[in-house]
Amino acid sequence: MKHRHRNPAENIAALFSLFLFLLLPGCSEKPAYLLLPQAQTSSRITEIAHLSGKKVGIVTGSVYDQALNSKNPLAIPEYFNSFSDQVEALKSGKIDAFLVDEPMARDMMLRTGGLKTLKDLLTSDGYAFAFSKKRAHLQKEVNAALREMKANGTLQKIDARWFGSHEAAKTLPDFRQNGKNGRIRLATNGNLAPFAYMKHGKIIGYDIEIAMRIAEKLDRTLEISDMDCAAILPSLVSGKSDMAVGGITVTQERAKSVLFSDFNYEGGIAVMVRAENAVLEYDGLYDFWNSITFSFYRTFIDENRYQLILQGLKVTLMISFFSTVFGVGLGLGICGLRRSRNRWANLPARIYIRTIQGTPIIVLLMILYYIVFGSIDIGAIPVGIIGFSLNFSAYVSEMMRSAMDTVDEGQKEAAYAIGFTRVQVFQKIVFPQAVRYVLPVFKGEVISMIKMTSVVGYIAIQDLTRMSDIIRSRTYEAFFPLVATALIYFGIAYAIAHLISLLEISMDPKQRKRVLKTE
Amino acid sequence: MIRVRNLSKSFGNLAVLKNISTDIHKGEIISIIGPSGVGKSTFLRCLNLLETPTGGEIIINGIHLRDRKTNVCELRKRMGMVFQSFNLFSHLMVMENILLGPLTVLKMNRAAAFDEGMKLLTLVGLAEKADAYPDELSGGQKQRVAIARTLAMRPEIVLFDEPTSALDPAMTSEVLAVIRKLAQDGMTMMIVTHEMQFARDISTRVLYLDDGIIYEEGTPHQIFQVPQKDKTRIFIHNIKTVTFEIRSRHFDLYNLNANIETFGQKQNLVRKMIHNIQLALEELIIHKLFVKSDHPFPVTVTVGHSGKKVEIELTLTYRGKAYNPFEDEDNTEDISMVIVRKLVKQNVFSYLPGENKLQIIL
Repeated sequence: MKHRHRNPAENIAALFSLFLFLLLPGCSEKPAYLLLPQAQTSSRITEIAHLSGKKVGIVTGSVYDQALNSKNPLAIPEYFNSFSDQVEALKSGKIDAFLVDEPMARDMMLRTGGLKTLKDLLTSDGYAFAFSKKRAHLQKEVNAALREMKANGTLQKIDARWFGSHEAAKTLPDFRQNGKNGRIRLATNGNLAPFAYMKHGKIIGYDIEIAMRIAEKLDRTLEISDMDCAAILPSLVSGKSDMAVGGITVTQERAKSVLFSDFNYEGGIAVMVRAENAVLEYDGLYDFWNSITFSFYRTFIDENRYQLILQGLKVTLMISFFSTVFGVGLGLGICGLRRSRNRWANLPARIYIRTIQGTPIIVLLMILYYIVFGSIDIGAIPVGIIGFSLNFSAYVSEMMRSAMDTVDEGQKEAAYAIGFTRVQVFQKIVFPQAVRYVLPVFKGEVISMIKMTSVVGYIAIQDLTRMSDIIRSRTYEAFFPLVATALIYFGIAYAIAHLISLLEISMDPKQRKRVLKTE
Repeated sequence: MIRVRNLSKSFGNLAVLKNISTDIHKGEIISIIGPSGVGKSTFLRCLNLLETPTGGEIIINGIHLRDRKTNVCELRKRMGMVFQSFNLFSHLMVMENILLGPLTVLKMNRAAAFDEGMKLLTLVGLAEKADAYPDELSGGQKQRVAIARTLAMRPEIVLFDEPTSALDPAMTSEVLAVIRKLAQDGMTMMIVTHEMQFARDISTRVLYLDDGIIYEEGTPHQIFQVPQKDKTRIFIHNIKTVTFEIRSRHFDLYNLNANIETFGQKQNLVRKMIHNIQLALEELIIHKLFVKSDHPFPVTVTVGHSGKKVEIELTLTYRGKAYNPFEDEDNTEDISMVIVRKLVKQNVFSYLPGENKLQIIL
């Protein structure tokens, strides 16, 4: 029996050589540099006017671009999804500066070297809690609580805790939330140290502590969901969350769609640039293996971050598994309708397939989460599963349809002539043969679907990718967490591919064992 | 057992079967012969509803096949079908092909079905191929497996749809031998075939299909030795024909002669014979028919040649009152008829009101 498939050892060897190739340049002179191009020694930026013609990083969904445009319209905005990406981009010279809220800038400089802020702030403004328009009552209660905290000095104490350099003090006190008056669903982004960030698998920070204290005061429980920055406002507007926090700047435009509390922090936008000695910071600090070990420690061990990875992995696997199962089931049903000669069964199936195939998965997920299930209390993970099942079913349906068309018409006739019903012909003749044709394509589609699940962060699901984003936002390190995440995805894809290949072999007449069951 | 009444089947505007009526009795072995494209296979496929008839009735053991309430699967169980292209299930081994029907449809016990399957494979001489896949078999072997698969359902009748058309002569004889064996065992069969010798040997009845009807039917002797109708005869004797139509006295004689020449060359006729045909036609048409008959048009001329014989058969049909040139010899100086008589071996004249028909053997 010949194996058509490459044996696992060969594949691993191929992968390994690929990585060696990537790592090689790093082994020679500047080991810790790895994939990052060297920072350019461009003319130094010391004030905002120097940003003219320079690329300035801006986090998507923020108001930074308006502020930048009003202070220096000649600067070129570059959009990023997270600050950790911008730290790497700045260090590697892809951008010349990025904008960040002043308190976060301080935290970043504590955690990673090679960065400094300009003396002048771009703007000074205030951050506040945001509420859905329907929660005016909650807004009033929160304002009253905030005023009290300001008056009795609690706010100053919180400020000192989270903005100080004493790391061990940065924990949340114990709260007694009795929930007498219900709950507050809080939307935030766990990527915004020191306002809101993950530590030991828990979300903590300045904003979180204030929110906790307010909840305690109001006799409510606090339910925190961590989501992508760009998802926070839609979540409020659709009523998925009651209140949002996390460095949200008060602007006129935002005030049209949401309500704001009084400021809970007054700060501004700082301009982060490379420090003069940026290159030296990296150079020669660690040798190659030490840097890997250090990165490994920071990424997985420190603050038990491997637990985040495991949680994320669980979510990714869960969404992938259920979406595959439901997608196949639904896809077969759609395929049945699509193949029907009846116009009224055929047409809806065709419209369904076209619509789903024509909608980007992120858009589909957002529509499902914020519009279709907007007013229903349903977890984000089930919505993710529904979205991916719908998406996958359209592809399964088309794959099966083309595979079923390849099944020899004569064999179907022979089966009908024996006295098979339509269902039996499908079960015994068409399906087994179609599956054989479809498996190689199916394998690719499943893997591609699993990789696509990495966008679920948009609807507040903490999957593998989101967890690695969170870790990166704490370590400000791009290479190691990204490669580690890539390796985990590769592992999943490899395992799935292997499982489906086994199925392929068992379906292939030439490869399966010839055993005739006599009993 | 099966009664067919006024069966018709059209594909769009093309009427393949126009009006078929026949009865099939238990124990009969019926061969269906006829030229390509006259609906032999369609007729067979209508019997188990692989094609839906457009008209008429098929009654099997008292059950109307076209009745909406009829359980078609139930009827198909009892009618086996063997296809020209074998249609073995390509994802299953030979034995699995055979067992699938009995296990799925008849709900037979696996062990019993397996034993019976082995017996059938032995019957068709392929017991050692039980665990082979269809694409590992030769065409003849595939068709024998297909026959075994059909028999495994214990059918009351087996329909063979050109079972050997896709096979070379050696494989053909393997398959025909198996069918002969079934015939000896008394299986009721309907066979669409182009194997004339086989049909003649095995059949109890032969149906000759043409023009969408059962054009002629009878015992093998009647059909193969003394066919009554022209088309049957042309088919049985493998006669090649060419037909011309003459619409006026001013027709193009040179063109007619040129066409006869072309036909003669295709049929490998000797030069002399081609010349004789041209001569006889010219004398009969121009010097007799055009002179004696007022308005014979249209005149049709058919030249026929059987691959098995050297003789040429000429058929002339024409309108007008009854006129036979062979009975019209007013004097011995009728040069035309002297020439024609020298060429002709045999002539037959018939007259239906308005239509003369003259058949001549050269």
